Amino acid sequence: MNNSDHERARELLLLRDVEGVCDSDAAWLASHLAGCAECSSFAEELELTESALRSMPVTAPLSLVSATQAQVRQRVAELRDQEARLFLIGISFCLGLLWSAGSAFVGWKFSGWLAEKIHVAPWIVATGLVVFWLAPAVAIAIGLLAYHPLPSRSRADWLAAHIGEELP
Amino acid sequence: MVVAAFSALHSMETEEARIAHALRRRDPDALDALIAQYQHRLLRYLLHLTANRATAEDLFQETWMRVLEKGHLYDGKSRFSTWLLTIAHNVAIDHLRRRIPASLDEMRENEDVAPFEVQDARPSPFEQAAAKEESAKLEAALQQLPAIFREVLTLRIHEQMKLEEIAKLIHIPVATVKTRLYRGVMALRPALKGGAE
Repeated sequence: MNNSDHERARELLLLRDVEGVCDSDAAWLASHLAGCAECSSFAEELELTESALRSMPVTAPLSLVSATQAQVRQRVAELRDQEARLFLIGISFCLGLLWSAGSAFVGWKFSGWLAEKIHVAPWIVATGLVVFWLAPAVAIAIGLLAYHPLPSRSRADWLAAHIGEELP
Repeated sequence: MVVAAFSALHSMETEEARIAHALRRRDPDALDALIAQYQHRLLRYLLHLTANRATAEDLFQETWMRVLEKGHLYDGKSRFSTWLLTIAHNVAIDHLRRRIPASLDEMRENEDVAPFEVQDARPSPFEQAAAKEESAKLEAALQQLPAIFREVLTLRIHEQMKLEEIAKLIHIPVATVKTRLYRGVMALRPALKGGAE
């Protein structure tokens, strides 16, 4: 008997219960176990482990199950709410885009007409229109870049100083 | 016989497909039913993985939240239980990573409460005490056993998973699964021999 026989026996023992072994392997294993104390001891320990683990029932407490179900239901509601909001945001974005494209086209035509009426070079009116168009977005972007939110502790201190009340 | 096997396979496919459909729709009733159906198996797996009841219960809830979030990824082609335990495994790993950058081997905590303590009501306190006494050694041995061994033992013995399924779930080679099973059994030897005597 060599090491590979023991390895084969252990592997067959591990496979026996779930994957199953063919008849010839089962016969070989039986004859090996009959003559090998080490492997038959492992077979016994494997069986003991299986029966011992199976004899330890684990039951989920009812409170845990119902708390989880409630938590999941709440999260489902939140996710559905989020989805509904995202849908509305998407619709608003599309409508905004359409409106912007339409009004930009009208504005562009109007600037051409205006340039003709007041006898000014069309590029001057067009530049003015672009600046007018972009000015709010640029102002907001600069404002956002310049804004440094206070860390939570500083905010608490600031509020304490201004409201006169210490925050936790 | 062949017809019966085909019918069983077909019904399983239908069942898994139904679950996948329900998860995609985030059907709360179906989720309730799944939580109820898999409660014991999931908690048992997490208990064996963490050896800590409080942690296992936290991870139980987190696993179902993850199932809800990732439900659309389940295609219904594999067994739902395998997919659920894969999610649970990943949740446990994430939990461990949040705590300390360590491996699954270190997922063991000292606590006063026995993690594998049976929570259900038994016929009498004496019987419960006797059962506790009998399994006390095994519980202690299981707690001492590194999580990587406990995990493969429970997947194999309780879930009756094939070696390849376990390997896929834990992302390790099949040979490593065999080694862990063997070592796990060997590590429990003193407790089992003591109990058998």
